[in-house]
Amino acid sequence: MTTAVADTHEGHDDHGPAKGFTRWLFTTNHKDIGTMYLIFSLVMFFFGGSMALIIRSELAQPGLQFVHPEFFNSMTTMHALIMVFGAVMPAFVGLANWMIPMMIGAPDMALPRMNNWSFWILPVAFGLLASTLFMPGGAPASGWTMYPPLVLQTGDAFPFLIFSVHLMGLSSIMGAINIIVTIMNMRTPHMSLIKMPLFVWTWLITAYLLIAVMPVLAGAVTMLLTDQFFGTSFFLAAGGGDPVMFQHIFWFFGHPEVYIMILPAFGVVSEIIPTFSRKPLFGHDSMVYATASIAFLSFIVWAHHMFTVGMPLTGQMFFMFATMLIAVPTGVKVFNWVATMWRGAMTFETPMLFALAFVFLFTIGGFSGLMLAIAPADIQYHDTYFVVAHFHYVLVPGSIFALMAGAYYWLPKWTGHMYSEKAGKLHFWLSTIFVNVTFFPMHFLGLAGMPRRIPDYSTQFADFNFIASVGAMGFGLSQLIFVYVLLTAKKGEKATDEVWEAPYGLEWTVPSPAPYHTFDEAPMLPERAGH
Amino acid sequence: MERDADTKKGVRRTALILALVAIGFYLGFILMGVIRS
Amino acid sequence: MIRKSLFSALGLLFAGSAFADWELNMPRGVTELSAETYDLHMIVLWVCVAIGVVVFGAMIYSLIYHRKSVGAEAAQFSHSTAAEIIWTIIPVVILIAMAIPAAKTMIELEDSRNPDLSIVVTAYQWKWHYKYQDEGVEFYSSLARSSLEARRLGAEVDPGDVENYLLEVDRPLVIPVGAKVRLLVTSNDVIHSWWVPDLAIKKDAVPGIVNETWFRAEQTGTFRGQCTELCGKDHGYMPIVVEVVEPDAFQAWVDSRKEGAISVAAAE
Repeated sequence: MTTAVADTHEGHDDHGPAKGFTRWLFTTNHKDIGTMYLIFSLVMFFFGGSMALIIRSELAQPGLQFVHPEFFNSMTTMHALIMVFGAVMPAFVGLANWMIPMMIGAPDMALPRMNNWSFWILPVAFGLLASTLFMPGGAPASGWTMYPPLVLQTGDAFPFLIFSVHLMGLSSIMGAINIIVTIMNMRTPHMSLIKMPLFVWTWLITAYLLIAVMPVLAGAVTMLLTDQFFGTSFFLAAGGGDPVMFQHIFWFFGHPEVYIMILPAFGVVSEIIPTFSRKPLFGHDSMVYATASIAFLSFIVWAHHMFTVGMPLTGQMFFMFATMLIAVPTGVKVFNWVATMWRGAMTFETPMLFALAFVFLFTIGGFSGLMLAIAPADIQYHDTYFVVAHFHYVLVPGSIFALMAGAYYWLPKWTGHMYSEKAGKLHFWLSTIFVNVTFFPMHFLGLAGMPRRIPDYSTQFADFNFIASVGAMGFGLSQLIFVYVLLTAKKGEKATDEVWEAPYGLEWTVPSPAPYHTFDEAPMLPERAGH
Repeated sequence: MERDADTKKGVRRTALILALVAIGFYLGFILMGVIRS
Repeated sequence: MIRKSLFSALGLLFAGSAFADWELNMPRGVTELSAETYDLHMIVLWVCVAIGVVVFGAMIYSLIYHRKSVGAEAAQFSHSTAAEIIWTIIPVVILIAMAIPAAKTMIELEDSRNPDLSIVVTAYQWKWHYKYQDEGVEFYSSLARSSLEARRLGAEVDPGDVENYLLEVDRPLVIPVGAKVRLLVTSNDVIHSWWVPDLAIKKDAVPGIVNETWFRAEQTGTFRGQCTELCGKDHGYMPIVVEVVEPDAFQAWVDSRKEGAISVAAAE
């Protein structure tokens, strides 16, 4: 018997990854899985983006030119579901998979096989969801918020919508478990929790949010399913149920969900700004506490999405005060980023450009958020384009720009080559200009009285709608430059281990491209690995 | 991947606790729906 | 970067002006509470502008002067407890200052006691039904015919030629000026929402629930609103029109509607 030789690796891994398609189907390697999540999310970004272009084409002028109202409603619904669950969330999970093990000096994620399932569930879930476009009754058209009773008027697509949401939730929950287990059990012993980089901290906190709220969404859609098919009346007034209860349950998920989509973005930006300012992150510990505060507060503000639903006065007051309070730790983070830049020695490579635009434009989104928190004013903003402007500012020049920043920042570590800086900068400037052209006018549209989720509008809204549509086309086309950057990613000069001038973090102590297996032995922390 | 017994135990324990928390939230909210209707 | 801040500042500072289709701001409206709502909106807007000027100003200064290409050398300070405390406390104070007037307006919005008029508003897919409780007048209110023709996919009528496109109805809600009107809002099918910007009230119409809200219009005029909760395919096609008239004109209208209802009943 060969027990004398301890077999510590699975056979094929000793010689690098397997070849061919089965490599990707069966991989348990965090780098491979990270890559799959990122490519999947990019494809979903374009799929959801094409729906946005259909929406903006129809809204470019008053009258209906291209689509029927029912299809328009399907487009808005699917655009949101795909962007939220197919693009933004998987992209951050992809970054987490690639970077967290390396940042904490771990050889891989704690549960590598579950990691593989977490990914592969997603193409199945979105295949199901996309297939509803071709079913009788069309794709779901009740908004991504799926309020009953309207959602129960969905045709054949209904059970597929529910099943798809369940699958996405399962994927997220398993991913979140993996991240927490990895961080809590597999850090290099030299790295205490408080010393972890911000990207790891924000993901640790995000993972707790995911575990708490994705099951709540699952519960809510399970109840929709039983109301539709199994004779229950959770949300049906005729049977003694309460449609508003769905909203409470949904937004108990929904509000933490938006923080799930932004906290990792905060983490990415907190990694990038110090590197390109050549200065440590200002207030590292404060940033950790602020993130934890935001996460905690995110659980007690959900009904600010429901100020017009008929809530008692005391309820409205509580939710208004709690919502306003979130501005405090969020503001602390913005001030800390500015203090990081202050008296640094900045250079403006593409990752830094996206990170800086993030700080600027996310803050604008935060301002409209603060305005929305003021309940009496929200009576005028709720369900108008003012809300659409707000959440697109925090999600597009917010989350998406942070994802772009992270992609450009870590791309040389993944590929071993410098990407085309010229193309990157062009991508950045065009994206920034067009994102503002698209979404800034929406503030005015909302204030002037244009409701959300309408395929046609009164003629006084025409001019700003036209501008927004032009912006949307420009923004969509600009993303093709990013595809070019990725396709030519390996053509640039070879990247060093450090890639950038004196970056912070353990990931910059391994070669570029990072070897298939890194940190098989727990590393010591180099001088710049900490904050 | 080489892992010592303590790490393996820790991994299993953390994973189990988190899975139970997730299931708890799922069933808890459905139960709340049942009680309120 | 400078371009971005100018663009934003311009937009925000334009708050007061309003020219034709380039409407930038919320209306002040025609009720006392709509004016209070507008004022709250402007307060929070200016607070945000002020904070923005400070934060973006610091950022822009830093971007210009703290760059490697002009020879800056990076300092290495990385924390300051004093700074963290200051920039936590000052925002809290600002928030409290804003919360107080907001709470006051909220309390007033909830006070629907002693109305002069009560109207039951029932939402349908895709029209509104109004019933004046005491006057015994009731009717459906749907998108006007002039809009119906222009709204269809590939219609030959240009929406630009339709007056108040998508904001006109066959039978408007008529209200006497200065009266406190209480609305009891509900739905017959899915969730809708009743909103008129000039009255600054928006209330969801939920099946199985009756929501209450109120307004007192201080000026006569015609005020238009829309359904503001996605309710299916024609969500964008069920507007609201409120005509606020002098009390005697209101009485005349009530009488004519009652007569109309009686003659319809007699004909059946």
